[in-house]
Amino acid sequence: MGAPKKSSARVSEDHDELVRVPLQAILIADSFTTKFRPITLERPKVLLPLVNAPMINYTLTWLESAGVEEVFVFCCAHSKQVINYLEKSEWFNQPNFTVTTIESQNSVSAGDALRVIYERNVIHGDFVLVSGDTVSNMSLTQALLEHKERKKKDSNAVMTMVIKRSKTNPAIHQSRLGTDEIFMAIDPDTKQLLYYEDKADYSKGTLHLENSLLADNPSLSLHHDKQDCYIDICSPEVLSLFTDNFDYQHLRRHFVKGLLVDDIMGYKIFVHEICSDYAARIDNFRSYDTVSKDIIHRWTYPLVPDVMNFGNTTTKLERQGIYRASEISQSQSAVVGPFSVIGFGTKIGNNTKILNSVVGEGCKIGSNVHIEGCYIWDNVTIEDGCKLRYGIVCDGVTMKSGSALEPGVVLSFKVVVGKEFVVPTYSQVSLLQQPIEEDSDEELEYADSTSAITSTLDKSDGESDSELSDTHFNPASELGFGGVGYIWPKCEGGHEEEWRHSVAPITEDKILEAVKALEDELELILDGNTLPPSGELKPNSIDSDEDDNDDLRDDFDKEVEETFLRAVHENIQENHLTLEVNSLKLSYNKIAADCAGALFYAMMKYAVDMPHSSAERLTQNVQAVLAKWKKVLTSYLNDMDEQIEVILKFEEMCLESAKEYAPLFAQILHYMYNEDIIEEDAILSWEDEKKEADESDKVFVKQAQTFIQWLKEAPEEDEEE
Amino acid sequence: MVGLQYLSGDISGGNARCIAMLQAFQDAIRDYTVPSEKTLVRDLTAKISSYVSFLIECRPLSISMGNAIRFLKSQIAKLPLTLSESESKSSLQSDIENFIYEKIILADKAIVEHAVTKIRDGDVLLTYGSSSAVEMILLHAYELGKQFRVVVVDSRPRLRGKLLLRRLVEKGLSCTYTHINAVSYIMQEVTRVFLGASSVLSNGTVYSGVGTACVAMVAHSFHVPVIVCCEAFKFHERVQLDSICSNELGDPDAISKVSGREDVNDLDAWANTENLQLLNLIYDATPSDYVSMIVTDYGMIPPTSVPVVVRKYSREQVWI
Repeated sequence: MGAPKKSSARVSEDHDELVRVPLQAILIADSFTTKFRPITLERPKVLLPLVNAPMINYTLTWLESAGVEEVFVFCCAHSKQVINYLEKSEWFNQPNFTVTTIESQNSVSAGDALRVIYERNVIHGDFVLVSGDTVSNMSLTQALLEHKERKKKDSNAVMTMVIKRSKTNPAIHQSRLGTDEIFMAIDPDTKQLLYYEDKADYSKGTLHLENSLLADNPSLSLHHDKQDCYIDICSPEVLSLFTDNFDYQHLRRHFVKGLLVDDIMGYKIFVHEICSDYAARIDNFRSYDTVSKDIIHRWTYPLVPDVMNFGNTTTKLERQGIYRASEISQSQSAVVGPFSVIGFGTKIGNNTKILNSVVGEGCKIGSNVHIEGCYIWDNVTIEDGCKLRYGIVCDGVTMKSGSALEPGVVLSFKVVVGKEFVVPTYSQVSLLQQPIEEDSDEELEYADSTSAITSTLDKSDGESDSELSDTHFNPASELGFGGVGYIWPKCEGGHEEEWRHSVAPITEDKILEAVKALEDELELILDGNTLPPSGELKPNSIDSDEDDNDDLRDDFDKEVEETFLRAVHENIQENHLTLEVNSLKLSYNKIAADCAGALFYAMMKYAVDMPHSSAERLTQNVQAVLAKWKKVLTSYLNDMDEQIEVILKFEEMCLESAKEYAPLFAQILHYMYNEDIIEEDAILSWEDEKKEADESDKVFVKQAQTFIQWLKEAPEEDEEE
Repeated sequence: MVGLQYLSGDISGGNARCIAMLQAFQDAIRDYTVPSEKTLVRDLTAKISSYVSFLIECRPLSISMGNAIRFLKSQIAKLPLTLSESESKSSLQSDIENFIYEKIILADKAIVEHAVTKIRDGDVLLTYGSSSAVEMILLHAYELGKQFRVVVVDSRPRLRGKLLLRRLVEKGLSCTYTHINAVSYIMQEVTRVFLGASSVLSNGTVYSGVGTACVAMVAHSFHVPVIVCCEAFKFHERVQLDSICSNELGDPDAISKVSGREDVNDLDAWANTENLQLLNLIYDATPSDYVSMIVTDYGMIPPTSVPVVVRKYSREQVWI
């Protein structure tokens, strides 16, 4: 099927005036993540069956049909299994298509893998970089041509990324494939990638673009409806870049971002968008589900079960998207619904219903079984009366009669589910215990554990049968009577994410939850932001009554206080704080005196909240705070009125909120005078103002009497001198 | 304005066109003042006729529109001479309002009520093109919780089925989309065919979008019941035996050009060739033999009973 495409690809290469090099591809047969655990503890991800064929077959078939002539398969975890598989398959003796394996046990990331390949010195020209879990039917011709043209004009264009339009669910910020939304900025004319962010922080609701990005590019289109296909056409420079920057690990997070941010080298990345072709990478269980469905719905043609036959069985497509391999024995009363795949030699009992599911080879399914939306791999035994919904069931699993799977369950190899046992939703069950080493970095974690696992695996392979009978009663308690396997405890981090990535469809309430969380976040943003709606949305509040005005004022004070505290805790610079207070001042329509009052209040409050044992300590606190933030405060104290406001505020505080200050009033006033925060005139006019006030209000004037007296005398002394 | 929308194809479908026309007339009557020395009845009839001829220039009238115009003219003619200008204008406007409400909106509701009873759980329903009545039936049945699948058959050049498909899929119905070329393949799994109609003629012939006859005939040969949904105001006493003698011709460019497919546009210079004629028919006539049942606002009737409805309907009009 690839013949015509192949020739056309070659034409394009001949068109190139350079020396013709065979098109090479690097296929990384390891994802360096733990998303497919517990299954990947026992079998590498690329060998997991996708609609009854190992994933790597889809990738290799596509590469072959797209005109690639030499593929280097990089194996890391379970490398023996991958190599054994490839040796047994027909990939090693194809004409015009060579597959070479490169093995490395100590690579922990894609970056390491590329460094190993660079050392081998096998890549001579442009190459295609894919991972072994990519399903695509795109033609590389156009993308390669574009890449070469660009390369000729600008030798810094080292990479072309393939992207595809996709729709994301706005409520949960993820695509059908279960990956997060990606934000990309692309130059619409040159198709240069300018910005790439796959882990945007939604809690802030904002996206930060560098100023220079906008300044340097006259036009720029920002997308978040694109899906990264993880198919890259790279120039050989990419490999050397990885070697030069030995800290690059992740292809996207480090390499792409590194190139985009670091403009010293001037390397550029471009994108190629495909419209009608299919390309997707299986990154998690949800994308496993989505891609499986796309294959069954034939979007990936010719990569569909009835066209590409692996092994010696043939699969036939029947009406309504039912694929049936040969030698299936199905009871007359059993129903196989639309868009299902039944593998070779499977037996299906009476009154069994199979809807929207994939069943592998040699499975035995009993009577009255209900299977919906499940992926059942090879040689699975399901006894009578089981109910399975939206789960993945690996090779050799046995489900005893009457047991059930709730949505989102993953049963790893050879697990036995006991009689009448219901496996709870989203649980992961394996014969192996969950590895204990839980590093913070998931990529490193995988590599660490693989070495540990391979040893345990060898043991369990040999002894599993005897072990099963020996330890029969021990794990049985977790999976009901006669069950074998461990239900993995959920780790805290994964708990929130599990429904996002599981095969089970996202339930309504999860979406509602997500929507609600989003709204809450938005509210938070509104609450904590510098533009609260109350100030602007209630124009009538000003003339309606004074209460509202007071509320407004309280709001403002609170805002200023929060801003100040944030400044203290996050070490924000003084001029930034001034800026923020200024914006608050504008949004609440306040004058400088209000700002000064509020700021002063915030400072004193902060000082009094600091631990203090005695009055002396408190004074010291106040002095420290005032000394530090003097500049901010004085920028609002240009006028006498404002200074008076501060004194009044202080008085108010002493009376009401912070009575600790009451005895220290004069002392602190004096300090502020010494520090030039408050001028002499202000204090004197404050005293004047207070002369007519009630006796009770004069407490602090009296307290400060000596100080005021001293002030009045001071100028005279100056004159005398 | 409405005429231009017809011309560009923005408003299509029998009901939508008819409603748009009636609303335009309503506006026209509102803005209309009787010139001096003329009677309202005579002058307004002439005015309406001139509007109609403009509409015809834009796109030939459908039978349903013809019926609606006849109704309006008879209402004008029946206006008592004693009524003042404003009174007669408002009475005409409310007449039009009533017509839209009773004959189109209520009729559709009645049709939906009747037709839904014909959908059983597990059915596979096939529809051709896009009919507003059929769409309402499918959506209503889905809301009632019936379990069924829909096959939307479409054809070039108008591809109206895509719009229908989009609306159905958005609502959550499980759909299959195919072109009319594959109708004989898909018909095997279909249990009922629901079709819309532009008009039903008194000999039971269904006059509808081109391709309908083909679908009905294939269904007939597979012994699948064909149910036509049509409001009674679209019935006509005319008798027509084939689809050539009275039809509408579309833009020939529409079938000679395929947008976005440069490789198949071999007919680009067709206008220069004398021995080539491009035929883009809009309607065709389905003989009554291939129609099992017609669902109308008066109930479900066999195609042989169409004359009864036509008679009853015209009598009713006289009575209004």
